[in-house]
Amino acid sequence: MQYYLSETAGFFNYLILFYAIGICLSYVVLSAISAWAMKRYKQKNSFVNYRAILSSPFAPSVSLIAPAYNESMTIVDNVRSLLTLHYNNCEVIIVNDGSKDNTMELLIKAYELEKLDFAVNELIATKPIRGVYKARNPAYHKLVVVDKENGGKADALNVGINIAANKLIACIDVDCVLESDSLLKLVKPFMEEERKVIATGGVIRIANSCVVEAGRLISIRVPEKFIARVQVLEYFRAFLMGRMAWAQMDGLLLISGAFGMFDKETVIRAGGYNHNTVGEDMELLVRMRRLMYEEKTPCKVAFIPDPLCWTEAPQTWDILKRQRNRWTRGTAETLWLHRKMIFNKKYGILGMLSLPLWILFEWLAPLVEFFGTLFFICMAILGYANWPYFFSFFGLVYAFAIMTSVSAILFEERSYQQYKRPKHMLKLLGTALFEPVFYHPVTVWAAIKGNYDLITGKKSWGEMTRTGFAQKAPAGN
Amino acid sequence: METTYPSRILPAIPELPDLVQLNLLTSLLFAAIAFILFLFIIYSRFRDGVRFRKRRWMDKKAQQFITSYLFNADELTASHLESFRQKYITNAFQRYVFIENLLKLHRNITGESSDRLRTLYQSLGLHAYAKQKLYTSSWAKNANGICELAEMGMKQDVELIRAFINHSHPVLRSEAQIALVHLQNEAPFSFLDELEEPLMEWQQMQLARAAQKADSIKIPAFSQWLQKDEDTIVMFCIRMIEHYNQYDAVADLLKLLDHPSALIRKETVVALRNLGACEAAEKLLQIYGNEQVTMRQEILKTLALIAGDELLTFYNNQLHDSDKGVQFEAARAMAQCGARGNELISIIKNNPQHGLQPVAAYTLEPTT
Repeated sequence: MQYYLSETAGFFNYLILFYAIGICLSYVVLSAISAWAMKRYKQKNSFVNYRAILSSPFAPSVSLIAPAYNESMTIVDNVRSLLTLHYNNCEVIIVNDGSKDNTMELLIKAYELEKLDFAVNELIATKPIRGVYKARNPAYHKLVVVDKENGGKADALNVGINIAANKLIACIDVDCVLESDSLLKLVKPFMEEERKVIATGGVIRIANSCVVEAGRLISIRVPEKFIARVQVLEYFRAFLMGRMAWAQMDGLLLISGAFGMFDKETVIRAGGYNHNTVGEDMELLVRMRRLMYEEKTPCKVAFIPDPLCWTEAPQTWDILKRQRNRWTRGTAETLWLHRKMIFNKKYGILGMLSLPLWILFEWLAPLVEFFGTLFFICMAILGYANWPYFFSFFGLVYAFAIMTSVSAILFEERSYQQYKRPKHMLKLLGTALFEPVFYHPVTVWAAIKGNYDLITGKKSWGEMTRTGFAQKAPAGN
Repeated sequence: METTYPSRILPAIPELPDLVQLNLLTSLLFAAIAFILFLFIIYSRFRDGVRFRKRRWMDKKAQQFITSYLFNADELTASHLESFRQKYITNAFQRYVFIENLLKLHRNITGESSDRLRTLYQSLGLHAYAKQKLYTSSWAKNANGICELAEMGMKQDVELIRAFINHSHPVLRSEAQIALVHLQNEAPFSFLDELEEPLMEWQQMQLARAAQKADSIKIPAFSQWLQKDEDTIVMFCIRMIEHYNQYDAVADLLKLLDHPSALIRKETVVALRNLGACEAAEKLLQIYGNEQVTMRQEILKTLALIAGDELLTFYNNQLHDSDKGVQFEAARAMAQCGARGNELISIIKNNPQHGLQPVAAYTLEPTT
């Protein structure tokens, strides 16, 4: 018995070590590709004048779709901010998803809206529309507001897609703050590629503690709270080091639901957003790409490293856990829905690399960590714990986590350097030291809970309470 | 006992198992890399600060010198220029900042001052530096040199630049094409004759903008390139015909309605609409039945503008198309057919039992 336990422990030690090496290697390779892609992008972009799109009759038209649910606190400012984005040929569609508060009334009053006799070409099935409104005031001629019965974010986005008059659609979270030239930047890949571009995404940044006035970002600051600060690092790693590389390899699986631009025709042919999953953003992109592969149409999903959109990250552990729980369920649901693609040569790099790695290192990683820890605890109770190995392995993972976070900060420093003050950078470096010990275990637990909830059939989004940007960050930060 | 490789490197922990030693060694390596990256961040910030100060200093020097050249050119002798060149322009970074200032100013002025800046550019030997960039193997340097030569109006280098119009790098060939539009006043788009690479929408937009911004260039008849094999060039020409209202090209555009590419046919229909080409109505009606839904919508939109009331029955028939988009366009076309069309749509709108009532109501909605 003792022999078997000892052998099992040894076997698991090696298994976990190899798994960790696999993750480390994937990070290193992705970082290297990302660094190269970033350099190339910046070099290419030094010749670009985005303002050219503004005055050009050749610029494609864009419909901006923003679903709103109980957003009365910020809706008027946020819509005003969207209306002032730099893009000429653009309409802004706000979809009120059956809000229980006075979101709709506020919009009607602020923008002098009146109800239209509107007939919708229902290309994607949705919940009923109560009314379509446009502004009487010509100053808001770009604005269209749709009032509909509650059906969730995916359903609201589908209504926006049905209403959209333009060939490109940009889907955003209405509470996000967009950079004024974000549409100009997202449109460019659709115009410059020889292959058909079906979607473009950009970098999402954390706006906690930043100063936002009337839906505009006034000053960029590092979040005051540790929990939000860690997410700054997480977003650096995910966007600057991860997605940039995946896009370069043409294996990108996800464009953030917070802000992304899509080819409307392809979205409609793919069937629009799926309202049966909580990971509707990832699921849509995978479905669109799958459709293109099945139709044998060469296509591309572009990603640009410019910071385009600022969002408020969870500031409490409870909300963070709910968010990560939902992300885990969304990922697992998408992987399950498209399991046919996994290790299927027909789906190119998506089937042979992106999806398998996503399963192995995104979905499986928290499970391995959790059960590995559980196994170690059992071994320790039974007196078979290999303590030197445990400490050395922990040291290894910890050192790697620090190295990755410092690399992520370096990426930010060498690319866009949004946090100008040295104090901000040092704060982020300090945060990196504590993240693996205090923050990471919580996200692992949330992922485990997410998998459990998925198995037990939980479908809810989980309430995402936001504090809003209205308050000014304290001076001296 | 034989020592393992890690324990030879870390003699202080020779008693630990190999796996543990390997973990410790790797941890140390990661920690060291993290520390080096941290130092690099600090260094990078420091270097940026130094560069920023150096740049500000050079900006000031460049602006002072350029201003004094513009307003007191007679007082600045060749030896003044040479001494400035020796002192500031031989350093690559300083030269870069100086050229940037010169180009920025040149972009914003015209006439005599612009000519003076061009003379200064050549007197300081910057023209030669720019030409050198065209002989390097880096596409970015090539493109940079081309931008510079185009901005400074170095017409003598047109042939050098022309060599890049079919380059494999899209940014470089785009910059070369834009430069040719700037530099060849008489035949700004003659490069289209030799162009074999695709002309993507982004490049098309840049070229259209360059044509708009360039001084006194002769806009050619774009119909001469409508027969090119490369679809993107044809697309560009259709758009330019439309943009410059080249009505003479309508006959050539009509031929494109039989083009195998659906995108070209669609763009042609849009161009015919915007040109108000009434003679296209017959051909559009002819192809209507064979086209896809989106194309049919475009044809209906166009017919509504270029044809008369005589197509009312045709539009009325299209109202019963299975595609809602086509129904909308047919209803809109009817609404534009004077009083009779409006009356028909109003009858449908006022009949709540009619299947097309929402379509008719939407069509008559003044804000849509």
